Order: sequence, then structure tokens, then C-alpha cells
Amino acid sequence: MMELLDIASYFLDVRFVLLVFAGSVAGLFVGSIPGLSVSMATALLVSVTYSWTTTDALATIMGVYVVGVFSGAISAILINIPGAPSSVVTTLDGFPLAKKGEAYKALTYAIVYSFIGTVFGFIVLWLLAKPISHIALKFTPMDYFLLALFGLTTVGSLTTKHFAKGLISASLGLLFSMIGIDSVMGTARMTFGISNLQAGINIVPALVGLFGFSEILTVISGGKLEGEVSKVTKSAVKLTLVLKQFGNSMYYSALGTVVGALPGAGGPVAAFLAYSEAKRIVKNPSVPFGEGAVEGIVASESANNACIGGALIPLLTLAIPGDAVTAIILSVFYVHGLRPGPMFIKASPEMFHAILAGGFIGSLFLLVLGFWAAPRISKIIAIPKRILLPLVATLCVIGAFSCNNRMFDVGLMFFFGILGFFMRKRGYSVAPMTLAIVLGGMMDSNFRRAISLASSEDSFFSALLGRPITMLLCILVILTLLSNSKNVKRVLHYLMKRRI
Amino acid sequence: MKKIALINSTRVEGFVFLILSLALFIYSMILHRLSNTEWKMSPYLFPLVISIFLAFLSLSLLKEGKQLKKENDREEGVASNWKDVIYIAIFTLVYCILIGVITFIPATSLFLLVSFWYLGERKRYLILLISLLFPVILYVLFGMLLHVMLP
Repeated sequence: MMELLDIASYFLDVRFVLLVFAGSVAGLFVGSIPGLSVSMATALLVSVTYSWTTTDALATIMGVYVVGVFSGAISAILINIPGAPSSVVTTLDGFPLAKKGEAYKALTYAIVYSFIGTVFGFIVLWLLAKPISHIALKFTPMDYFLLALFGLTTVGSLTTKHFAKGLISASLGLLFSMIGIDSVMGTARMTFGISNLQAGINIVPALVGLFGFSEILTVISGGKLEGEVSKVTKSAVKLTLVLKQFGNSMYYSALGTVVGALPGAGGPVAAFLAYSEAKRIVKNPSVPFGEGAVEGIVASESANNACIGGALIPLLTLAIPGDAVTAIILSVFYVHGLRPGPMFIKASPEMFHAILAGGFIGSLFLLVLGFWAAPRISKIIAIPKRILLPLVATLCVIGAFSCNNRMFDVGLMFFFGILGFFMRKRGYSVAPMTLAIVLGGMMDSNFRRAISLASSEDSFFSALLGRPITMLLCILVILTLLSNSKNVKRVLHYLMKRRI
Repeated sequence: MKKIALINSTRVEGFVFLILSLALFIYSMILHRLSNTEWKMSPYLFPLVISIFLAFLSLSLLKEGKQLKKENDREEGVASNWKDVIYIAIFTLVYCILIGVITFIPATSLFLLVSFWYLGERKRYLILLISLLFPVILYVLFGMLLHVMLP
């Protein structure tokens, strides 16, 4: 009850609400303009909110996160280009519906079910975070290492076509995280005499480069610097008719939350999964799927927004980010001296409540801004990228500079931008690298601590890997590695064929 | 010809990562020896583990490149506007250097002006308006209201 009152108190805090609103407005634009992403905006925000209080920073970021994920659907419906990767599935039915002159109807379904999905995800976060924290208290250093490794392997497998490339991206990220003074022995590693590297690679310029500057270069290399927008004419859409899908949306939201909680899976996977489930369970859609079925929009939008709450569960309870945005949010915690993990909710309940309140308030702004601004936003989506991209480039420079007030970080941002661009071009996802840069320090110190503790025991291997949780995590890592091996896939395929 | 170039690039990547992993392995071994610590506490233990892991991954890339050649397969090539990418990267680099010389507002105005024009915007009044106004807005918003240090 006290917890509920604590969360409700944020609804009366005008400053907090206004900051969520500011974040929501930013999220609406960033999410709906193809070429700008929520991860890019969050990365830039980390540097802007550097000197703010943690609550203020979290309020703004939650607004950007919640509304940014939804607003990817606006461009998906109006111009057939998803503003965010998680809205790819929304284009399948959203754009055909817009082409029929029913863009407003498509937007209404997207807004309502994005709201429902978001609220569902945050309620699950609220209910599950504490029990999971209790389990996580039993984790040893080896468990933390394996959990982070599991996160990196799943991110590597889900974000790229080639598993090896995903893991290479993660390995390079781990390598970058090793640069600087070692936290255990205090020795400078891989600094090559560059004094600016002694403090390590600052996460902010790395993120701004990997998500901001590299995206600018990728969009420019694509060559399409203009776009066409479908017209939105307001037409009456009965709310009772819209809410008919509520039952199914609960199922899609549950799917989305579970997928969101898995490291690396995130919105796109959740939306695809929910869409295929919708095709299976909805026997008589309004029109066939792919031709403007509102059931498809409901599935995609409920699931990808429910992912937000899901992705925050491992972040807050285990300090393992569920996706790129939560990896950036983790860096916000580090920047402000907070340590997410099993003790986080107990030690900093006010931060946990601020995140929940930010999510709930953000979802309300999603409804308000969605209905008010989404139909009017078509002109902004049409801003030519030849104008937009140089403006974002200047923001990247400011973002990189402002974290430490040194031009060296701008150089780092530039380096990571170029690196990220080439990685994207060659099919290496930047998400595993981001997670690895964030988690690398923790993995290194826990790995050495685990080895050191086990070596003082009689039986090294049973001390290192003998506990049930450790064994389970080991099995998970091995299964992830094996399930992505081409040879194993070939054998499984052969066995399945033989059985049939 | 294009197919061969694409196939080779996978193998080149594999080869580059293999060299990187070997260099990291040697670096970790040498510096560990110089640090006079046990392996369990060594700051070079984790980089060593990564180097071994990276070596296996680069071998897998090399194998993949070889298989592609064998199966006469091809990778997806993405059309790229390399010239624009290189120019914008150079403009940004020059912009970063210029900030230190002519300060933030003039450098940003110049960068925006050149980039807009290069990327194909031809409405002169629009280019001038945004190039002059945007840096001032940034200065007021970030520098004065949000108290963010500007370069």
C-alpha cells in the first residue's frame, strides 16, 4: 500500500510529470522519424542529463523510451517505413490500412494497444522484480559472469544473421571495456601510453558513436534522403470495437514481456512472435493478415510495448540489460553512482518507484500525444533527411563532449561512429558490442573473483561450477552456443526429417 | 567478379580478427609475465580468454568464407553511397577540429551550411536560416538552460 502511495506521489510531482512529458515529446519525434532511433536519443540524453539528479534523468528517459517505442508505428503506418525496428511488423497491416484511407483507424489501434502493452509490462515489472531480486541474492560471482555471458550470446544470436559475427561484435566490446585502469589490481591495461585512456573508454561517447553517428552514416549511405507520407483524415472509430481485441492483447503483452526479459531479444522478436501467434489464434480476422487486419496491429503493438517492462526486469534485478536502450539506461545508473542488482530495490526503492511512475505516466502521455499529435505529425516525418542528419551530427558532437568536457571524447565518438558504420555494413550488429562495453568490467572482476575463490577450495571445478544455479546457467550458455552452431542445426534438421 | 570480392571480404575479416586475437594473446602473455602476479589475479587473464575466444570465432569466419566459395554461394551486397559517407565523415572531422579554433557557434554554422548544401538542399534562405539559428538555439538550450558544457 505504501509502495502504491509512493508511486502515486510522483503523479502529483509537477516537475517529474513535466520531465516525463518533455521526454515523451522527444520520444514521439525521435521514434516517428525514420533514421532517428530511441537508442540514439537515449544515448544523447545520457550526456545531457549528466549533471541532473537521477530522478530527473530517469523521468525524461522513461518518457523517451515508452513513447519512442510506440511512435515507430506512426511512420510504419503512414510511410511504410518503421521508425523503430520493433515496428517492422506493424507495417504489414498498418500501411495497407492507410492505403485504403483508414490511416486514422490504424493509428487508433496502434495507440490503444501500445498503451495497454506498456501498462501490462510495467505491472509485471512491479510484481516480479522483488521475487527475482530475492533469487538473485543467492548468485555468486561465477553466476553473474555466466549470466552476462548468456546475455551476450543471446544478443549475438538474435541481432545478426551470422552468430559468429554477433559474438565477434561482443568480443570487441569486451576488449574495449578492458581499456583503462584495472579495477582489481589497479594496473593500466591496453592504454598504449595514451593518458586519456587511463580512465577507460567512456560509455557515453561510445554509445553516441555506435547508435548516433553510425546511424547518420548508414542513412546517408542508403541514399534515400526524402519520403512520402499518407494522408490522415480523422474518422470516427468506435472504442467498443477497438477494445474487442483486449483479451488477445493480454496474451500478446504477456509474450512481449517474457521476450523483453530475455537479454537481446527485444521488440522486433516479440512483435514477430505475437504476429505469428495472432495468425494462429485469430481464425476470422477483419480482413486477411497482411492486407490491413487490425488484429495484426494489435499483436505487434501490444507485444513490442510490453517488452519495455520486460527488459527492465533483468536490468533492475540482475544488472543485465535486456536490450540496447536498457544498456544505455544502465549507464545512466552508473553515471549517477547507482548499482542495479539484487539489492537495488531494497537499497533504492525511490528509484524503482520513479521508474515505475515514469513508465505509467509515460504511457498516459502516449495516449494523449498519440491521439493529439500522431495525426498531425505527418509533416514532420517528411522533413528531408538532408536537413535532419547534419543537425543530429551536431547533437552527437555536443553529447560526446558534454560527459567529460574534453575533445578526446568527441574523437572517441567519431571512432565508434565509423566503426559502427562499417560493422552495420558488414552485418555485425552494434547491440552486442554495446552490451559488452557496459558489462565487460563487471564480467572481468566477477570472473577473476570466481577463479580466485575456487582456487582456494579443495576441488576447483566443483567450487566453480558445482552449484545448481551455476550449472543451470552453464547449460543455458552451452545450449545457446550449440543451438546456433550450423552443424548442430544440420543434425537437428536431419533428425526432424527422419522422424517425419 | 563482384561475387569473388564479396566472398573474399568475409575471409579477409576472418584473417584480420585472427591476427587481432594473436596480437592480443601475445600482449596478454608478455604483460602478465612482466606484472609478476598469479594468473587468478592477473589483469591479463580476461583479455587472454577473449583472445582465445576471438581466435575460434575468426576461424569460423574463415571457414564460412571458404564454404561460400565452395558452394558458389554469395553474400548480400548492400548498395552504398560511399562518396557521400566519406564527405560527411570528413566534414564532421573538420567541424570537430574547427570548434577548437573558431569556437562552437561559427563552427556549427559553417558545418551545417556545407553539409546541407552538399546533401542536396538548394533553398538558400532555408540553409541560411537553419545554419545561423540552430547553433544559437543549441547554445541557449544546452549552455544556458540545461547547463551542459559546449565544446
